[in-house]
Amino acid sequence: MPAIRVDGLTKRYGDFVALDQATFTVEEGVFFGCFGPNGAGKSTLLKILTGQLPPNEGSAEVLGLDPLKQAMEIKRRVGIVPEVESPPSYLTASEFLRFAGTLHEVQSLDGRIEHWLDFFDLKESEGTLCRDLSKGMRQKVMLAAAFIHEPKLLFLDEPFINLDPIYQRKLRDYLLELRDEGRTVFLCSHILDIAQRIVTDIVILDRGKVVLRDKVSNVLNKDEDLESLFMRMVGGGNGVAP
Amino acid sequence: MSLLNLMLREEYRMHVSYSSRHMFLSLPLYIFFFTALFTYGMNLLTGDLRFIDLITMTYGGIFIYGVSVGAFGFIGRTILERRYGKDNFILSMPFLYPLTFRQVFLNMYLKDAIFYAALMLLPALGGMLLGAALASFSLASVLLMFLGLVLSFLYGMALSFFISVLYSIDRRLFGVGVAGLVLLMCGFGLTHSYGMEVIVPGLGYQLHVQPFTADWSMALPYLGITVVLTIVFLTLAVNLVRPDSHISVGRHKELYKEQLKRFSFLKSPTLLAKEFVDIRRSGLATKMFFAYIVPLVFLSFTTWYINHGLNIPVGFNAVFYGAMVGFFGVLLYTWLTNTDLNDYYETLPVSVPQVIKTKLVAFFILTTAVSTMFVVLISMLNNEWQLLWLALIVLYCTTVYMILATAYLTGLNANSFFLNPTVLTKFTAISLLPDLLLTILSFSLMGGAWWALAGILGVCGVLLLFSLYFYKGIGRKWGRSSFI
Repeated sequence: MPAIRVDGLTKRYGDFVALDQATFTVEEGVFFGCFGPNGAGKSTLLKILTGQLPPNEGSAEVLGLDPLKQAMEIKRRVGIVPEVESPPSYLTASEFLRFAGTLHEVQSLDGRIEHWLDFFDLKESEGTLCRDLSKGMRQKVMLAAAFIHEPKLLFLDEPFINLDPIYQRKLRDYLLELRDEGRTVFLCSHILDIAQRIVTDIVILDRGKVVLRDKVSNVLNKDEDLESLFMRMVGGGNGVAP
Repeated sequence: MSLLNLMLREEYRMHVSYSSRHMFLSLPLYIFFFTALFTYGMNLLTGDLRFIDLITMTYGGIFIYGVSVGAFGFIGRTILERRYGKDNFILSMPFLYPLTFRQVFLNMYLKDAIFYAALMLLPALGGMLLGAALASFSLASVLLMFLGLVLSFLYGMALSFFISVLYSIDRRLFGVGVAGLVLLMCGFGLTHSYGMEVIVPGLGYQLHVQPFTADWSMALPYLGITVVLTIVFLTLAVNLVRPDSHISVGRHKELYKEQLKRFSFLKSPTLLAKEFVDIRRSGLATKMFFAYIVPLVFLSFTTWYINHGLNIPVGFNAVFYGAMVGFFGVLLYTWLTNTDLNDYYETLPVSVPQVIKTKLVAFFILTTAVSTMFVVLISMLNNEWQLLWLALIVLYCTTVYMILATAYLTGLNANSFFLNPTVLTKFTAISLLPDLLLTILSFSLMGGAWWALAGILGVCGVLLLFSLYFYKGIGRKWGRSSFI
């Protein structure tokens, strides 16, 4: 059974088509990279897969569940880091982790909270409300909350944004561990040099359409890295991107 | 394009985003027809209330409306941070671009004045003119009254902007400003040693033009004072305003675990515990206390004033208060839904109806004791112990009904019902009918009419049935909604 199945998904916002007949599958244990220029439909796709948005056409399955009808069940089993970091304003980092962990019915929660506070160096900010944390710290809190129940599948929308190079590296190494453990990760990112080092499969979207879906080993070689491939697929060579 | 023009567009688009352009633009129509109907049927609707008292209340109301529009600027910073965390507003542009806070602040005043005048006051004028024409009232009187009302609105706004600026300079100055205003109002209410025109000079103008005595030598000075005070308060506000650089990052002791323990008797205390942490840390408890207590005191004062000040023998009793208190709860529910953004819930296994129901539980925990005490106190003061049981039944039934109706209609966006005409119409229909019925029946109780008692109990029964419908409807209506 694939971890994710997307079949003819279309999403329109008024006249604007954000996603246009997108179709692909993601096998279990794959580190999947979803790339595309701004407005290509990546975040919309992620929102549909996690039950935050209904599609206009098509269907999807996540871990064998329908996001339209079983969104709560999906959210119990996956970890989600949204594009914009926004932990609750009036909880501290450890309180939010307890809140998220309790909702996910995590056993031995105290130990897990300690681990993630240590991992992201959040202990120094203990007692500070999330609203008063820096953007990077808030991003760390959202990441820790997504990891706390050790989900089988992770949806990460720009997880490296706002993190300093030390934590970009630390997060990248942790995600590689997950990949080696056989967990599935769905990553949307514009930071292609990091992504290239960790993803095994990719999809490239352009104006809502799937323009490439393949294994990294099939499309990247010593003559073409992810950035060059991306430029070629979305017309970056014509002045769209540097 | 001028800054004012851009700010007006921004305000318009923000309001349209609450519902739709079509819906938003029907709000002035709604006001137009409501005002026309009220003006046309004024003699019938106001009953024993004297015209001069109606005018006094209207000026008081428009002044408070101006103050509240200005106060939105005051609380705006918090609102922008919490409610629109992802958006950016021109209000924040002086931090990034070569604009001064004075420019932005002055334009904010002008923008609010134009926007709310166009949205509410001009349609109300149209309605008043239509109603007056149909009822053969003097159109000149309507225009003269409108002038006084608009100036009183602008004066209320300017005063509110000025007091907001005092807050950003020094909290003590702000305290002095608010205390002065409260003292002035209490002095009028309690001692009657001066008229309300001392607080709202626009009223003084109104009392010296048509349809009262047409004495322009008295009316013009009041008009002048209103204009001068408006300019003075606005000039002071614009010149004293400064960006609020008061940023402090405090340390907070663990509270969530404590709240989890407090509600551990519940099957799932997770959400409710968080709700109470939010309430404590956001200062909402204090705001809610005032939002609840102030209207209750105002209501008590108004009824006392009608009975004793105006000598109109209206039978306000504990049952009437019970019903009114129930209807006040709506404001508190609105506050509860505005504490914080809810986006992060999208990443967690939580549904919108679960959060709505958690807020409802929090509401009842927070308010039941206060509202019960108020009704008991009123029964004691009026020596109406025999009505207490009925007053409490009415209180609980109307509270449950109104809050569930609000939650059903507005979900987690309770503010939208002020600006979405469809929801506003439904809300008016849902609230007005039982409110009127209970008020009329409660007045009839004093005559010992058995049918009034049976009627009140019957209305309460129907309200509970509707409450059940609304409660079940929350899951149906909001089950597939997103938190974003």
